[in-house]
Amino acid sequence: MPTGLLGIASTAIMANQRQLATTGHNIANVNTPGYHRQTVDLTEMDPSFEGGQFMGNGVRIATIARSYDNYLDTQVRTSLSASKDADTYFQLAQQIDNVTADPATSLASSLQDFFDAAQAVANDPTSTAARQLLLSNGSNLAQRFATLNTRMDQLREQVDQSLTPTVEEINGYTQGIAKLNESIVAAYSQASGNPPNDLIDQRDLLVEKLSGKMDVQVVKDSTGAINVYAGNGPALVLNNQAVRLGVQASAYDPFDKDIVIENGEHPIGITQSVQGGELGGSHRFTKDVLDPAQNELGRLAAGISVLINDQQRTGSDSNGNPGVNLFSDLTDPSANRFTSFGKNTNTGDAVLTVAFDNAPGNGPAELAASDYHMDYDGSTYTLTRLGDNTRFTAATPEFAVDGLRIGVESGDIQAGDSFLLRPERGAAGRLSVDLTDPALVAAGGIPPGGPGDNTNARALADLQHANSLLGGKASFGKMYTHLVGDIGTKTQAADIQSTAQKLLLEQATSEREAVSGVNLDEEAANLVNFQQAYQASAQLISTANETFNSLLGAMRG
Amino acid sequence: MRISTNWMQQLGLNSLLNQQARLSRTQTQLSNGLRILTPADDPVGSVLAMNLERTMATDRQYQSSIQTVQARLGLESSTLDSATNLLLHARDLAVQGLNDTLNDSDRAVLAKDVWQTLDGMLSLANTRGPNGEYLFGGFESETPPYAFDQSRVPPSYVYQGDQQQRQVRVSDQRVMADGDTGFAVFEDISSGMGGKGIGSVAGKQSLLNTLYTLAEALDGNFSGPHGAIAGSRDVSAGLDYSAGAKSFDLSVDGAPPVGISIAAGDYPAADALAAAINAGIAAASLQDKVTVQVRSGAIELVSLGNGEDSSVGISNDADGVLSDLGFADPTSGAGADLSFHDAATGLLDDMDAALTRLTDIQAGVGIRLNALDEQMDVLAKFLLDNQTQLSDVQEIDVAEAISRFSQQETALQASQQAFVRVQKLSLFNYL
Repeated sequence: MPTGLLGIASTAIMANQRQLATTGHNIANVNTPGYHRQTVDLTEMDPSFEGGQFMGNGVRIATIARSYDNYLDTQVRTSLSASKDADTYFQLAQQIDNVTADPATSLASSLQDFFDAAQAVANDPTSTAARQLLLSNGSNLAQRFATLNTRMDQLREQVDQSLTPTVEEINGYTQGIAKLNESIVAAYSQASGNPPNDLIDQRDLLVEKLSGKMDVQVVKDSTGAINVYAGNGPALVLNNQAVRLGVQASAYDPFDKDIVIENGEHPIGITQSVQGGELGGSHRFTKDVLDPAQNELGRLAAGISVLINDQQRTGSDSNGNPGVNLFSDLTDPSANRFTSFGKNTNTGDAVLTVAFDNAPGNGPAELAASDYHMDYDGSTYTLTRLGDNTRFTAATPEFAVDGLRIGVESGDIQAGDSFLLRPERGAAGRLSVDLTDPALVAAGGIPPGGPGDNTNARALADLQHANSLLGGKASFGKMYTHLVGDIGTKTQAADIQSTAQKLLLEQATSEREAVSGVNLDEEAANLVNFQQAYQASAQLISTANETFNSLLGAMRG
Repeated sequence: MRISTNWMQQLGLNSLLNQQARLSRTQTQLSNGLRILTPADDPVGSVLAMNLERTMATDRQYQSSIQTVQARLGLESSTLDSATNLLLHARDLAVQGLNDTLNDSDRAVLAKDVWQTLDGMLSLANTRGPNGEYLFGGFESETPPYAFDQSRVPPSYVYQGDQQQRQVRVSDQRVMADGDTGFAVFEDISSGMGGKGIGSVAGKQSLLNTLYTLAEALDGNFSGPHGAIAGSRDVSAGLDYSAGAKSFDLSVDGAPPVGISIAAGDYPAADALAAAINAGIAAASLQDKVTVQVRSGAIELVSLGNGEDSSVGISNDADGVLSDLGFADPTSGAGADLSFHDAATGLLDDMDAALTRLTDIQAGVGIRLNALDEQMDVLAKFLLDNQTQLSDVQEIDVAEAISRFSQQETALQASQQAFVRVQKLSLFNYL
């Protein structure tokens, strides 16, 4: 190593060259996602002590640092997770919001049409056209229910189907993080503590992408590796090991999906630990919006079926016979199949029946629009309303509560068996018009009057305004308005939330970019600056050379 | 503060996209004319709008019900007018007939006119509404309310409708009868002459039979009514006597009472019950003297003979038959011998009672029509108010929306220009 001016000049050239190269690196990566601006930290060489003086020895590179603020990066990550969560929730909620109030799919108008037709039968019971209109408007109403229900099923499917690809993406990220952990730890030890900036950028980017899918906690260890945890729950990445996530059927309903950590024969369910991000958002949407909405819709369909049918049976038709059901009979358990699910760990083979009831004190007014669990501990059967965890107990597996009748269709229940009941979820899809003969519309009362008897048709039409649901507080129309209003409120809140989270994310990103982003004007200025420094350093060499030559010349004399 | 080049570009782009989204939203609002595009735009407003729409749909439903009832009551009103005129004409003929200077052939001429009047009255009583239903049949709206029944004792006009009138809902609180039954209009009228016309019984007369009696009397064919009694209970729904046979005592034409037995059985209608009593009468060998028939759902016992020697009496309610049929214990009814003068004088009283009835019913119809007119006005006002409120809630203020649109348009243009200008700025341009 040369000393003196030549030595100093060569350190200067080296340092300035590296500065120029780093500026080039910054410019090259101006659009690279996850890139943090790099700077060359310079420091003086240790001086040498000569002739009683400390003589400077030039410059050296302390480290090449990336402009990184842990706080800001963490903030971007948590904001991203919250923003994706809110945005996914909002996008999904918007789809229900659009469909419930759209005149082409809304129930409001077809409900009105049905009761207008009932009123027309009451006004003119001998008119076959009016009776026919009642039946076809009834079909339209059932069709609307089915359309809304199908739309909700499709949304549920959309959420379920996006689960597997999302989980696979997460697996890709966690495996990438584990591999990068390995490389980074090796690089640290190789470079005696100098950071492998570009590898760390790549790893941070993967963690950020992972945060968009779900909320994660990141803990750095002393070797430079990071450990990643799902929320406050289980570890996804420990040093160079990543767990694999998977999707499997839930314990009750095989069509429900749980997120699990794959673990041979015994996968570990982590659905509850998954919060935030796209996964958290779609999960929240299902629980907060979709499930309640579909249960409400089912409650309305069940209420209409049970009460209209009941009114029909209270009257007499054109032939003087007692009325028969107009809509499909949802009080019949066989019309409500596939609404109860035995847990996959059950040792008994019982299949439960669920039907809507219309007994005094246990009719549609009592329906709670909730799912239920039924558990047996060997002596007592416990029915739990999942909406508010209200419990009912009985010594036999038979319940008549909340407007439902629950019993056993076949098989035995063993101690420890558990069942999930979803009476209302699909009820809107089970509504249809059974009556085809307009003469069978029961317009007359009992005992049957003549053909002009409209006693029962009037009672049927009056059901439109009767507060027959929600414990006698809401009519069918109010119930639907309530449903639309509820979805609207939730969607509006989600919109506000999503916009706010986007702003927060933008703000956090702005702050991070202010520290870590590349500004081309700045790099241009640096380029000029470093170029000049480089040129000056080069001049140093030529000066040293000239100085040496003039000394040689003097010697030659 | 530093700004990264990439982020500056991103911010500029975000701002453009946001402005475009706002502009497109205003455009959609303008092209739909709606302020609320989905419930999430204004949940409270959209619930209010749905409630208003529901209220308005209900009001329109009531309007159409009212129109239906108005049409029927209007037709009834004009039918009652015609009936009143016909009856006044018949009454004139009766007064002329009472003139003692007339001989039998003069009265026969008057009778021809009364027969015409009777035909007119029959067709009025059997008027059909706009939907083909008989106006005065009650729930039995597809059977002509009145027919002449040759098989009755004595042969006479019989009311085939029932006593139930259809009610139609015209407001939240109100249901209204869309007509009146023939029973109320023509049948169940108190008889001034004590029910001595043809087919009259128990102090009640039927307007058609009153005119029929008048025509027969003018023709010289009416000498007096049959002895008859009628129960006051409508047994159209039948009686269930399946627990055991029942009996009561029957006295005909002044003869001592004879026990009549009704066989055990569930009689589903008045006709079946009448047949069972007739069977009991036949068992007592009285079938040539008395018969049982149904009259507006009630049981009627009629002596086959007429004049003052004919009578029917029932007694002995030990089995509860009399109470079931609506007879006092005992009840009896006798016939009478009537001169033309007595008959015509009594018939005048009966026609006056019928006129009063027609007027009363007409007044009731008028009151209902008035109430419907008022209700229509109220509904029209409600609809207008609600429509105004609905517009306020869900429709856009066009002037405001257009000015907002042009503001947003200007802002977007400014953003675009700023974006392009900022993109041009780079130090590299000067190196």
